[in-house]
Amino acid sequence: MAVAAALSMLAVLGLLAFSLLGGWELLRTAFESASGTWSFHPLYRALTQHYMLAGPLLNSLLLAIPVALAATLLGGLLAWLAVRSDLPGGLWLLPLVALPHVIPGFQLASAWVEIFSHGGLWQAALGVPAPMSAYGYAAIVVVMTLHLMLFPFLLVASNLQAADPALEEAGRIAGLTPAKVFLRITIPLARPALLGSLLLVFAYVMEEFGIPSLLGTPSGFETLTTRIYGLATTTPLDLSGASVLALVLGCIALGVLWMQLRLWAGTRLETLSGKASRQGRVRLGRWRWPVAVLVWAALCTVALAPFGALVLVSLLNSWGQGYGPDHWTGSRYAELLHSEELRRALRNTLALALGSALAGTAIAVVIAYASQRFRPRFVGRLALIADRVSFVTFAVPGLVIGLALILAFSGGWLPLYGTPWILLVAYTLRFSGVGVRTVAARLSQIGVELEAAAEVAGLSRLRILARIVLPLLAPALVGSAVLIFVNEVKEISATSLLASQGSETLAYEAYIRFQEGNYTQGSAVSVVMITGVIAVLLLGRLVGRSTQDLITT
Amino acid sequence: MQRREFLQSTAATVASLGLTHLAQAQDADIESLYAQAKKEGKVVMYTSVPTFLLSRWKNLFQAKYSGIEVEFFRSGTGKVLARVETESRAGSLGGDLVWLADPTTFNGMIQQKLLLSYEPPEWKHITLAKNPQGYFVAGRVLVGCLLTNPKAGGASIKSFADLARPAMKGKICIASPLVSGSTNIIDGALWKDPRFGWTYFEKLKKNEVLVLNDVPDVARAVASGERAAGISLSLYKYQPEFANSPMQVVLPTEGAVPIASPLGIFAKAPHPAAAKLFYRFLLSPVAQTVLSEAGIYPARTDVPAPSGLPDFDQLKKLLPDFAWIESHQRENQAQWRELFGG
Repeated sequence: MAVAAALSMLAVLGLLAFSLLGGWELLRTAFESASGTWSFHPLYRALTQHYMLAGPLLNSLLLAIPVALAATLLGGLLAWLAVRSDLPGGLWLLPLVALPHVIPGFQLASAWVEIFSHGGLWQAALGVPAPMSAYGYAAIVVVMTLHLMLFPFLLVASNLQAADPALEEAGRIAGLTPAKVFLRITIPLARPALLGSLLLVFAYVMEEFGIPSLLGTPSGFETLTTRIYGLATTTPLDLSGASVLALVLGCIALGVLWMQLRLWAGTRLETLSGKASRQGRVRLGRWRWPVAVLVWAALCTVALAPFGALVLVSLLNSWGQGYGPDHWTGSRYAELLHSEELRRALRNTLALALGSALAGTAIAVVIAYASQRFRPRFVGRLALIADRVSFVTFAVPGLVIGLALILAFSGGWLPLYGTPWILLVAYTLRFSGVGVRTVAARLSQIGVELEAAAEVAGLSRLRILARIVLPLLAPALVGSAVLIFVNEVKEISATSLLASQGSETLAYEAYIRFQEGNYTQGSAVSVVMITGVIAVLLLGRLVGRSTQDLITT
Repeated sequence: MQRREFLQSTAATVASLGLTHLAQAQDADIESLYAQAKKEGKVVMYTSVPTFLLSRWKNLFQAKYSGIEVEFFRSGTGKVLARVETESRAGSLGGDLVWLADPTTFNGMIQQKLLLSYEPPEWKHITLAKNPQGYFVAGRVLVGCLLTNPKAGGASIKSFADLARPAMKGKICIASPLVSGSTNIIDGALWKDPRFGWTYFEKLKKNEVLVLNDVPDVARAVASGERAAGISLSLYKYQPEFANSPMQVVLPTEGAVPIASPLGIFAKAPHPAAAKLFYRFLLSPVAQTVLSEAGIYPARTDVPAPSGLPDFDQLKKLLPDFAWIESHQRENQAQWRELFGG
């Protein structure tokens, strides 16, 4: 335990050091001219040219705000149904909510195009033109919302289990209708999770590249992130422009976090104290079956349709000959089985995903615990800074993280670049913030009474952490590990810059094939990858006690 | 299989080199490169060339020159460039060779003195994109052309101008030059040509052209029937999933746009001899034949064109002016944004 604690603290310091080092390199790239003097020309250009900053920023906000609201609403509602209601089969909602998040953004968007484009699957199956355009703003909002429901689902599910059901009980006894109990008690109880989800989804939309790029190009819709990619990857390269925009994005993330924490400050959130709490499930009564049919039908459609499209593409023998079984082939999968590269990619993916899920969650526990329990002291301050930093590194595009890491770690005192470790660092930097928000949301609900009692009983801090805090945090730990794991598996924007021979991941192999116009093979790689992740989630659901804890009560 | 390829390749090499004194001198040169390269043990290429070609070359190369590990960093041209730029800023460029989509991507590297001047005998057989200072030479030639789908109403498309016909409204697609490097070259050739210019693109816009990200997206949209015709590259027709699709390669009557894709060696290559050896191998008839089998024009004039395409000499060309494209990049991008947003 002591070793684990020491290692976790070291990891937090590492996270801080690496982020600050990367941030410094970005500042230099943004403002240092070739001759070594500082120049504000790139910043000036960004501020005065509409296409550089103002236009894309406006588009990013137009996307991030509605998606954050919609995803949090839908994901939160589904979490409540899964955790607190007697919805039939509620236990099995997680894999379906997770599915659209496991599909990498560019492939989810591509599956969407496959379904809704002119002559696409919708038209082929139903004989009528698709009801909405495959491209454009509305399509991006819908696809992003589906992609991101998993965040609020996991955060809210873990929070609702921490909520003391006696509060809802009291409401019912006081004569409130079930609807009023839900609105006046349940929702306020889930507030830390709802705020955490809004933040995470907002930040994710700000940095997402694949979906807006694929669906937005036809209508010339550029976001801050697609602009950053454009500047950093089309000739003539403008790395300083890209760095300026990345710094702006980081500042926005900080500002949003600050605003949210201000809103949150001063409210008492603790709902879990030492008292006995056995949660009863809310009976949906005569609504039970209609709601069940609606939820299951809708969720199956939106989760399985894109995955189905992906599977179909992976089986296609040839484009343009129809989608029926006559035109299917298993040869892409046969190729996968024989490819040493892909076996290696599978091993890399698993090792990196497990490593970063563990590291990220450990970091999250240390940061959340230290910032909430050590508040005024030096350690608490440091933890608060780490909390902010981890959110910024989550909100900044993966490409930028990749560039900063190359600058910071090629050669010098710590030549990580060129080794697989650089990927572990990149993923931990990118996704620790997810863990921090997830764990912090739940920890803020846990009253200090139990810990105080244990301290009185003479337990050391480490023991208290191990015996009391961690078990109470379990649902959030699982939630955090799942989110980091899933996001690592599908990461491409940093990987496609940092991967070296031998350290390629499955998502990278899929991405490269898509980029070469090898869509069927790329889809097959993704199908294998997605099936693997869903299998891991289901397995965890079946055997893991903590996962049990996440979904049931 | 590998052994047979090896035997064929050896035979081809011997045949092409002949038994002249010059050839013997070259062999001696290659032998000494090989001896040094073996000591270096490895060669690393940064490239945007498709993976299936890379693995074929790797097999051929290692069959011929055992003891040298071949590694690639494979990503999109933009990502490779960003990596080169960032690594060189950090002072630790890790690659030996670089092979990207078009010559405009190389000027930055030349200005920063990142490339080695090297003109081996293989240059004699290449006519395209020979950098006068020896910093790069064409390794392959991509062909910007039309892709059409007769089943979706694209049978009558023979020229770039045909895409602007009112009958094609809602049936055409292109890639974005802001994303796709090869599209930037093809469009660049059209922008500069007085027959087309920006008025051509205004007409395409009136025709509700679908602007996709990259050239393979155009191939997919045309092959699947989402659109009837588009501007892309010929090589996609040769990929397994497109080979039997209704999609056809149409060489536009105004001329196809050849894009010589340059290959160079880094000045500070960590494995200098292996880099030269691999460079010469990539320009050898054996390696160049691999290209032609994949539907890509080889850079060498003595290796036959891909089946179904005319000899390179016979190909009617609309030559892009790379210098013009590069010097007008920002203007063109601004003009594009004005027309298509972004």
